[in-house]
Amino acid sequence: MKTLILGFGNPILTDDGVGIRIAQKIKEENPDLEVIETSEAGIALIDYVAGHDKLVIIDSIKTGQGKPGELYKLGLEDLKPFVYFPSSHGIDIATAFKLGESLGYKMPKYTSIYAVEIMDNTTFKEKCTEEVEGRIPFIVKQIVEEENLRKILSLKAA
Amino acid sequence: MRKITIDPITRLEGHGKIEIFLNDDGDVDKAYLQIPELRGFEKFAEGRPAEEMPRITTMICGVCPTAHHMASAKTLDDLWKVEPTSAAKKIRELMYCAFQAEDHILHFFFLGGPDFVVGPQAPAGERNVLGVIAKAGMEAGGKVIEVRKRLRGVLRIIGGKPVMPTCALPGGVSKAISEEERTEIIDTGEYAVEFCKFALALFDDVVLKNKDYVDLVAGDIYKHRTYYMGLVDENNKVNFYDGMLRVVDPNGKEFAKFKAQEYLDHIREHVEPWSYVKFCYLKNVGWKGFVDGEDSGVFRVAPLARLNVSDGMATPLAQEAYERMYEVLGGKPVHNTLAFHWARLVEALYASERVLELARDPEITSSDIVNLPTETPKEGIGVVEAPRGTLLHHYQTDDRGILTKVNLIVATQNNAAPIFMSIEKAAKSLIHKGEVPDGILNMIEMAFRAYDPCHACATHSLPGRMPLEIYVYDSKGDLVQKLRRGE
Repeated sequence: MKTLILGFGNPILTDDGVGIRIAQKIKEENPDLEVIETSEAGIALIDYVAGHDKLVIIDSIKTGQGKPGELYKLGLEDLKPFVYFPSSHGIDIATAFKLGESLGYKMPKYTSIYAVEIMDNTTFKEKCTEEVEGRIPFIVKQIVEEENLRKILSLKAA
Repeated sequence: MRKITIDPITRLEGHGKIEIFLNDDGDVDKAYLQIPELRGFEKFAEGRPAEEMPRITTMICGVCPTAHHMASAKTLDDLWKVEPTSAAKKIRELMYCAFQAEDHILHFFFLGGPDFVVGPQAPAGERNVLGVIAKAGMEAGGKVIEVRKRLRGVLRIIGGKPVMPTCALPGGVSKAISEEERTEIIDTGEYAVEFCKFALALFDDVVLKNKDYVDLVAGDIYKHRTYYMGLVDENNKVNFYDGMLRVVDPNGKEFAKFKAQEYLDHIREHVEPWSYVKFCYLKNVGWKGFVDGEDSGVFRVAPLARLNVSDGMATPLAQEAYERMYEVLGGKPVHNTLAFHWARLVEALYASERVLELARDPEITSSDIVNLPTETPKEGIGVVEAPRGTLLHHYQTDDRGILTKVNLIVATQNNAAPIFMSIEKAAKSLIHKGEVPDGILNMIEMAFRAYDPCHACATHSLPGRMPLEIYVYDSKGDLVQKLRRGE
């Protein structure tokens, strides 16, 4: 099963980069996994993910209701396509998927989306806030376990 | 782990907000646009070596990284007073035109197109790129993705990475183009030119042959008589990468022409207590508030502005398209905001033709790609035309090249006052006697979608788009209506 881990975020906007940091750490610990970090908006998703069977997306979220560093798991079906954009910056993941499919691309069969509750994504800073930073090792462990990434690797090796 | 569902009405932080205040008669008194603020870039940059800026500034915006990269590289040229080699300039411009073409095409099919191709009154669920493809055909959809992929291929060849380029150095670029790469770029250029011809034909078929759309484009709701600013080459033709900044007045007459380094003599920033955005205006006309006309220093940038300030396009097919646009819309300058979409397609054709022209230039594969800086750095200013308008970087350093001061004027800041005015005018035209008609959200959004403003575009948090809300208040200041997309 061709698996891709995709970390979204901006590494110089404080907590916005958390998805990228988690993806980096997963790669450090599992060098044979295919991991991509990107700061791009949603449409580029098609280029990255087409042809994979399984996709794990890691991103940040700001609901303002959870604790910073809290991890949520979503499926694509939880992200309803907005399919309606106020600007270029707003093409979301679900829409990119729908578009990819309707254009005949082979989009992943299995997609999990992990979102980390964040505090600050509007200050230019290379580090996450302490609250979010402190949770990264735990989140990495959770995602690796939840997605059976080790098993995928051992199957790949075999 | 908590499981959540995000839909268009899930409340998320960091949204954009339009507030509309009505007077005693229930007509619009004032409208305000609030967008989230990104803080502290200048502080973040200060104390770092200036050479890092072409790489760091690409991260400010997930949509315009190449524009920041190029503006930053040109600022470094000026900082070290080093002129890039002729081949380096051509390589930079080639990459930049590939980026412009890709961005413009994407904008038209994803953002501007749905309002026209599907229709402004169509249900929101259909008014999107999928709706455009349904109308224009699946083949068209495939072409959009293909042209984009190929143009990104050019960015990858020259820039190192398709998204965050790393190629530009003070005085040139880091890598030459091989013969094999040139062949690939020529193929892409040819494909892009054909694609843009197709896009303009689609615009012709779907928009120009429909009287309602032409009336909407040419109508008064979205019209402002302002000054315009953009880069032009030595023949006053549109140029994205280099040249002089030219300003024309609302009658189309040249008002000023200056080098980027002289920007402080021409552009000032106005501050309002209700917004963190600094509103740019022409210093030599003066700030007269959010009003248009000859006496107001408000000016516009981006595709339509660039066409308005120029005497034409430097490539043959784009020149034809340019002439046709002005012929249909009644001559220069055009003040109709929705014509930005048409101008964007004319520019996409120019950018594609220019990619081809530069790729065919024998010098493009030269290995003479950098002049090494030898001067002591102090101050540098650089400018490019980003897809969304004039982008200016200004750095000051100590004599080791460590940044002491950074100022960026981004396209959206140049357009900030007109965006505000366009929203207010649309609201005033559409809301009467306290009646807020259906579909107003889209009609107001159309006003600023034409400019494609950058709204906290550097953030990527889910759901990957900025929600927008409209609040309507009565004359006593009580909230009477709240609109969100999806409600």
